[in-house]
Amino acid sequence: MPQSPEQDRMDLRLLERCRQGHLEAFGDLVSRYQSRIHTLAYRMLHSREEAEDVTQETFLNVYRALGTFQGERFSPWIYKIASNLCLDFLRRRRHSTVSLNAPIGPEGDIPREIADETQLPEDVALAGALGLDVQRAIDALPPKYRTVIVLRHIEDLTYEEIAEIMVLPLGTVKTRLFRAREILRVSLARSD
Amino acid sequence: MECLEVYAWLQAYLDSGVTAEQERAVEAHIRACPYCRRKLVAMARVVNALERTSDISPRAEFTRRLYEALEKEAGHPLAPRPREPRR
Repeated sequence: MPQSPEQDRMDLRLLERCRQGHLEAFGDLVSRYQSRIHTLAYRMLHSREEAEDVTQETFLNVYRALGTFQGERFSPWIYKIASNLCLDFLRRRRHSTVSLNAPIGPEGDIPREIADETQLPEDVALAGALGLDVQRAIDALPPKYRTVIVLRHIEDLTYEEIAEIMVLPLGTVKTRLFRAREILRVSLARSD
Repeated sequence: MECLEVYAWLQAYLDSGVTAEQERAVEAHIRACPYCRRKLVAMARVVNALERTSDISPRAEFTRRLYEALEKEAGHPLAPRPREPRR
């Protein structure tokens, strides 16, 4: 469910209390967002360790920037910090190693077709939450498509919120989402 | 209406992002076109698979480590701590 205006107002009240020095309010913000941010990071990175690193770094960045936040809603701001950190992790990975399922092609939007029969222990534990084939198909998406898919269908954000988070025109968000779903449809049909 | 014309609407239809008039056009097209109907069903299946997921909480010791990092940053305790996430 998208966040309600009442939840947005509560976030801003907590943020204001943090700025007034009531730092226990920061704990409330952590409680409200840590699972959502961790889920976003896990689906983007498919690694528990990296997802926890991103979640921790996201809250540290929010804490450091408490005094400078001037937006009207907290939620797009924290998602923006977290998704940018995920993209940084993916960029670093790309530079340090060539992932077996990293996308290829001049535009980086052709999923690789390599059968991988290995399963990480966390894959087995989380397979019930999201089919491993679907997670693997997400892993094979280029980062720019992966971000919109996760924000739209896992975090349940609107096109407008995604446009704000990714600083993109609405039309580009829709185009990327449509393209990403098309790639997922084709790669999941292949794995059937 | 051609398949190519209906394509963008088909996608927006999945997000309830079409006008009533476009919705009628999409529905008329998919009734008549098995190719687009199969495509829509396959895309709906992808969307359903993605949306069936639930949040993945971080591991139990995560909150403690996060608080240690935040307290180091703040230079003082940040009590009371939020609940540890469920395993």
